[in-house]
Order: sequence, then structure tokens, then C-alpha cells
Amino acid sequence: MATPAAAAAAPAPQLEGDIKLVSEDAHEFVTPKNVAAQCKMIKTMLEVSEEQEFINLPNVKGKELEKVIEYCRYHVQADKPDSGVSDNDKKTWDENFVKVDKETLFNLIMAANYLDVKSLLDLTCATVANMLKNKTPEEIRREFNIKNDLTPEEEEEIKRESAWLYQ
Amino acid sequence: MLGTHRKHTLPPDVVGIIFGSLNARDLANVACVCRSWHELAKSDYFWERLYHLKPQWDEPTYVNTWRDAYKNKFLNEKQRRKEAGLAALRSLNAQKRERVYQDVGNASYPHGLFFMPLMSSLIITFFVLAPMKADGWLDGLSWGWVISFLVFGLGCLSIICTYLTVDLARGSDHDRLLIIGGIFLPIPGTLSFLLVALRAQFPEWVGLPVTVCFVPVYLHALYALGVLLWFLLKEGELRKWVIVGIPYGTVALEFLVQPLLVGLRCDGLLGAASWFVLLVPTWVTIFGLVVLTLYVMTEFRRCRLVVFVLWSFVFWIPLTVTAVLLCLRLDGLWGIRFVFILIPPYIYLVVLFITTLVLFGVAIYETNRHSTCPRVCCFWCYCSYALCCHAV
Repeated sequence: MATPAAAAAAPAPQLEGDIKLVSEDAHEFVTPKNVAAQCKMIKTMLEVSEEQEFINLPNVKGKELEKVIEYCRYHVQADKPDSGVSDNDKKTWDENFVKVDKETLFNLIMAANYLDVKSLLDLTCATVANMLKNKTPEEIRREFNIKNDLTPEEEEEIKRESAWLYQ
Repeated sequence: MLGTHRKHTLPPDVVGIIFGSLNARDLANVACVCRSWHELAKSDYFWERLYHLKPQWDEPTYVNTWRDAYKNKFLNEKQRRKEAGLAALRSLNAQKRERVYQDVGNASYPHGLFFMPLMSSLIITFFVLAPMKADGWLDGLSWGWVISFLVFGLGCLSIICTYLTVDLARGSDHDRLLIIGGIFLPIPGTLSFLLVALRAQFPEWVGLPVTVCFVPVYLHALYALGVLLWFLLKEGELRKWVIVGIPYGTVALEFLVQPLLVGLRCDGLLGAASWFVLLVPTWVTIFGLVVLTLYVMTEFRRCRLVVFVLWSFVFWIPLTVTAVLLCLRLDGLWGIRFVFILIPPYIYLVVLFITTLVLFGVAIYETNRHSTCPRVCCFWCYCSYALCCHAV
């Protein structure tokens, strides 16, 4: 592999050209390899075999794959030194990007996790974490439709253990 | 989403990332949501991270669990903060107490200096000698001697004392107003007394009408009114007009009108007008002083200022009694002796004298002055009554 300095100066040669990504529900997305390589999982596959023309992604649906590609495409463009996009702009774009319904957000987390896009995973997880903040357990359950499988005694015990936080 | 149709499909490491950006309270909250979250949130990994997010917490020497380490530090810090808060509160209370003492002390210090000599002289001159003379018990003593006896000497002494202790440049406008209105009153007042005294002693040399004798007082009252008006216009607040304008305005007006009326009456220009009617400016002033007292009592009700209020703001009570008695006597409705008429202010002055002594002894602080003006005016009222006695 090229040294980091060389990699920054000229992208590795195998990342030129396009690659076809195929989703679980058979949607095909023709994507520049350098964009697709933002997903570490795809990057590894590309490095293993340079010749393949498409990659099957059996755990990602087309809708989410489209979002992930949109995210990667933007960040490849915005991260270029001469793009003129400020960090603030990127932050705003990210914030708008995760303004989706909970179902999509959930699937996006799964996709980011599977495709191994660390920045997208952090972004989506932070979004969920923000939804959890300053809420009571009951509010969280209602918000995320989670069934309480703790007995009242157990719940009482857990609450007692962390009572010192609320004194 | 996290637990609906795809229950538990969010892998633990993803939930871990989510939990990893929660604070301690939120972490405790999610631990109560369901069993799997509880298992996850229990992980010491989160507590270690939370612990190290606090740069002010030093590395623990021994760690059983990071959760316990966090808990210890958290509770310690809370305790410390609580103690610091309590200490701050205590010091604040102490400061407040100190301020109250200082207020009383501030006010009593120049007042003590100012009033000790003046009060002594006034008590002796007007509340003992003058009524005795008026009642015919001191026929051998001339009026001029009686009046100028102590007032002049001790009045001047008190002016000098006050002048030395009061820093005109440092006070607020309000202070300055009071100083000008109050402390310098003895100058025109004493001048007028002196003229009246000379007139009584040497009628053939100083044949001035009483009205003219009071000219220095009129001038001072006009000056005080001007300063008051300037102050109120500058402040422009309704509240100031009520709490400063009413009491001090009426007092200053009284300075102007009351001596004039008394002088005219003494000079026989008003015929046999009733003294009750003649003293209308005094009644108005008393009203102003009542307003001032009520204001002071509402402003300071939480402080231990009973003495202060009694001392500075309720002199209108004996003043009113005496004024009424005096009018009864002068209008010939009740033949009470002058000596007895002046008993209420005499008692009041004794009380003041004692509290002044105590406060003056207890608190010698920086100079400040709040209420010189109304008290001086009250003395001025007494003086004018004594003069009325003389005239009659």
C-alpha cells in the first residue's frame, strides 16, 4: 500500500472508475469507486479484488443505500481541500441529512454499521442519543415503542441504585 | 424503532455508541427502560468514560468499579458545592447584617456629632428656659439672653462638627440634597434667632419687625426648594416625587411660609387670626413626615431599624401633640402652661438623646446621613413655637 503522504497526493489507482452496488431489494447504484470506498466494508472488498464490476449488499435496502451514497458523495466532495465548504456548512448539512423518520434513521444506523461508515454511524447514533436525553424511562419507552420487560421490583431496585444521581 | 418490529436488532455495539454519548443521569434513565438496555448500561465502560470527562477529577488510586469511583467523586463534589453554597449564603447574610449595622452607624455618626450640641442647646434653651420665661418664672432674665444663650454657641459648634465629618463631594445627589437642606439650616436659623433676640433685648436699636428677622430662613427655604426641584426634575421618577418630593417639599415650603405667617401675626398684621389656622403649613408638613415615616418603615421593615425609625422619622408625633397644645393655649382655649406644652418633645428628645448616645458609642463608621433635614425642621418648628410664646 502507498504511504499516507502518497495516498493523499494521488488517490490509489484502484479507486478510479465506477462500481455498481446492488441492494437487498435489487436496486442498482452506479457509484464512483472513491465514493463507495467511504464505506470501509466496500473499500476492503475493492482492495481484495480490483476487477469486480458489482458488489452485492444483501443487508441494505435500496432506500438506505441511496442515502448512504448521498452522504458519502457529499463528504467526498466537501472534504476536498479546495471545495470551499466550511465545517459549519458540513454540520448543517449533516443535521438536515438525519432529519428523517425514526424507521429510516434506524435502518440508516444498521446500514452504516454494516457498511462500516464510521462518521455516518456516529452521526446517526448521536441523533438517537439526543432523542434519549432528559427523558424519563417511561417517556423513552413511549417514544421508541419499547416494551418494559422489567418487573416493578427490578425497576425499583435499578432506580434505587442510581438514586444518588438525583439527590 | 429500537424495539418494535425488529426487536433487539440494533447490535449491542451500536447501542453502546448511542449510550456512550449520554451523561450520567441519562445513562441511569435508559438503564430503567428494559432489561437488555439495563444489562448494557451497567457496563463500567460508560462510567469510565464519564469519569474521564471530568478534567477536575484526579485519577483514582484504587478502582473497584468506575461507577463507584464516579459516584464517590460526584457525591464529594456535590457536598463541596453545597458547603460552598452555604458558606456563600452565610457570608452574604453576614454582609447584609453588617450593612444594616453600618446603615445605623453611618446615620448615627454624623447625626450624633450634629445633634448632641444642638439638641443640648435647644433642650435647655427652648424647652426649659423659654417656657419658664414665658410663664413668668424668669422675669429677671431678658429674652435676648434666653434665646441666644446656647443656641448660637452650640448651634455653631454642631455645624462645624458636621461640616468636618460630612464629605459633600462623595455623597449621592440625594445625600447632598439632605445636607444642603438640613445641615446648613442652623446658619440661617441661628441668624434669625439672633435677630429676634437682639430685637427683644434692645428694641430701641434693632427695631426690625419679626417678619424681617426671619429673612435668612426664607432665603434658605427658597434655596432648599430650588435644590429639591432640580433633583426631582433630574430624577424624573414618580416614585422619587412621592417619597422625596412630598416630605422634603412640604418641609421646605413650611420653612418658607410658616415663619412668614408667624412673623406677620407677631407684627400684628394678621390681627387675631387663629393659631390653628396659622399653623396650616405645619400640619401639611406633619402629613409629609407621616408619608416619609411610612415609606421608611416599609423599606426597612426587615432590618432591625426600629430604633433608627424611632430616632429619625417619628418626631412628628410629639411635634403634633405640642403644636395642638400650643394652639389651644395661644387661642386661649386652654390655659396650660408653656412648660407642660413642651413635655412631649422633651420626652422624645430625651429618648433620642439616649439612643443617640448608645448608637454613637456602638457604631462609629464612615459618614453618611439620611434624615438630617426633617429633624432639623422639627427643631425649627419648636424654635418658632418658642418664638411665638415670646411674642404672645
